[in-house]
Amino acid sequence: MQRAYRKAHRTIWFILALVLVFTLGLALMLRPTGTHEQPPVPLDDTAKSVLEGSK
Amino acid sequence: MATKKPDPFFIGWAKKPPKSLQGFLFLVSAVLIGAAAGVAFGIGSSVPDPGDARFAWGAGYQTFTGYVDAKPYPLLRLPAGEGGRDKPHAMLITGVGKRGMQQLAGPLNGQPVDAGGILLKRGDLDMLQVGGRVSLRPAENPVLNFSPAPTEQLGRWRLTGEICDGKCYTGAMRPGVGLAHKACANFCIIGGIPPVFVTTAPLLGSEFFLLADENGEPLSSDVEDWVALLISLEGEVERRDDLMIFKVNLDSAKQL
Amino acid sequence: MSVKYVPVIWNRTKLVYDVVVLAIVGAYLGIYIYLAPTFQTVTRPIDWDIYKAQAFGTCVFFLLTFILSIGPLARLDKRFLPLLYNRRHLGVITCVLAYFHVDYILGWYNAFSPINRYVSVFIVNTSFDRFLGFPFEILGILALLIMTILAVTSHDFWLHFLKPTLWKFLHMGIYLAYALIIGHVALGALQSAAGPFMTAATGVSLTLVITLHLLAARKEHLIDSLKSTLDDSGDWMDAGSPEDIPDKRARIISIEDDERVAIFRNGTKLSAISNVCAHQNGPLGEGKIVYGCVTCPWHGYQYRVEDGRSPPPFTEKISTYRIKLESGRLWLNVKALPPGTYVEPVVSPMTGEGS
Repeated sequence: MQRAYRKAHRTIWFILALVLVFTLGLALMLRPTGTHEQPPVPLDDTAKSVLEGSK
Repeated sequence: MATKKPDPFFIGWAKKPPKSLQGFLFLVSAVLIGAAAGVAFGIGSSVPDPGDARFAWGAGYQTFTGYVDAKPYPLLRLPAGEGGRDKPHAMLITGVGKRGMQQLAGPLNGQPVDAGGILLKRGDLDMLQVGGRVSLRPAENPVLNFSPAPTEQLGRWRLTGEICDGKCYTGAMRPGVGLAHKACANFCIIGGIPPVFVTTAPLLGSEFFLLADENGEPLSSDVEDWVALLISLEGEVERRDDLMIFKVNLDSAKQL
Repeated sequence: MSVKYVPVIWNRTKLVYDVVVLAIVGAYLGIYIYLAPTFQTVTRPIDWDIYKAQAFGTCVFFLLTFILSIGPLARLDKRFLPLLYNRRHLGVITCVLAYFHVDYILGWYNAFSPINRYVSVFIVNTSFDRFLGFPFEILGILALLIMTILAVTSHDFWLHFLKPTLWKFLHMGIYLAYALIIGHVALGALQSAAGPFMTAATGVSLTLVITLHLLAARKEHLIDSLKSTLDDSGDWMDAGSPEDIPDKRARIISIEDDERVAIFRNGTKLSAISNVCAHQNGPLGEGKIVYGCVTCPWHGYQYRVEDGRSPPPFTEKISTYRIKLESGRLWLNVKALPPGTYVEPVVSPMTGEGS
């Protein structure tokens, strides 16, 4: 029983190590950091002339 | 042979821990208290700036006279000079708490009104939390020689930014943006407070856009899935006085 | 060691332990809430309720990190065993602090609305199909539910009612709670509300907990995979030289596919008992003979080494094993005797002059 308990313990922490490091890493990687910043993109002629006019 | 060195053994119910362990335990306790203090100071002193958003309690109860637009979300159209601005101003309005103003503004759409309440401010942005004595009522003394300017069409754009609720962003909460605040923002939007789009880069000097659907009506509840994420959206941009309105199709939303 | 149940048995160690814990919590909350704000570079301060929610929430996270580090630390270095002794109080305190966190959040983010604040947690954000944007609050609620169950069942009454094996299995739920809280923090606070220090501290905490557990797991695995030779009958296992066992201490022998056995030396006498304490399955072989009884290193439960019975009025008993001495080597019979069976100690003349 104790041996099984210790084995379960080991297995749990191997799995947790993988899952939690992956989760935390992914969540931090996907975090919007400003690298995604994009200026407004005009999509039709009115928008383009507005953009021209503002320059 | 058995060694002669001390063999400390801790027993919880014993009067005291063994002498040779006392120093170690004291050290561990000191390290833990020190670490707690250090971590608390490090985190607490490095919180991100939630911005200059606030209730303008200092300005007290204020009353404005202008016109009300009920769509897409209730806003006041104020003449130049009202509220200390030298140009006509379109100002979003909200109810008290997480409630919008649709019920009161709807029947008064396009009519001259008096609106009273407390201002929310974030830099140049403002919003009126309507309530109290005046609330929103037909104007007792409408402003003479004033009718709101027609809406100006600025074309179709793709903008990048975050959907927030107009009230928390404008001043009701600090911080009032981001995923940690998403549930609160959804609360507000469900309650009828206007969703707004805060862009990462300005368009014609504005980073603050009132959202509407393609027909200029309030957005469907689908918007709640996109709140607080960094996304791009496509739609028509129009301007009422100094307020930008972004009429979007939520199907164009892309998470970045 | 209790013969009857009282709400909490206090002793000096527990009092000192709790005072230190309260000092840690007090230092953390006091500095976070009252000192740190004066050093912030913010245009305007964070809303008071949100700031307090952050203080309590982060405090819970770091306490949980500490709680989860105690077990493996004590396996790796026995000097940390005293931290294990009253870990349950630490857990209960952490759970209580978590409720403060929830109360501040519900009283601010989930308030000022016609929607019921308790119901709202489950209906206001339904982006279950997203990673970023997932209603991370629910992860926190699940963790709080687990912590509450563990806090309520932390008393020895439940330990005896459920028996140690089931109780320990239930209380391994804290690992799941920790995993949920990592998700809760990663998808919530770390996405927007946290500064760089909080992000780094979360990463360090997780790394610490995982590293300690993997190191302890490796150590236990090495002990479990030690092979001792069996004799021809298959019943007797070589247990080494009796002289290598320090006086009042034990050697732990791993038996294939079964419990470990602790062979204790008390002066010239040698006895073998199960390595598993009847209280919380603590490692008796890492204990010591005090006042003539084997004393568990975890909570100080005691057993007479000859028959594996706790001295009256206590009633705990554990298995004993037969040993024999043949030409200077100890041999252990791997078949456990029924708990509480008396076995005459083996006398080894060579160990007579031990300390």
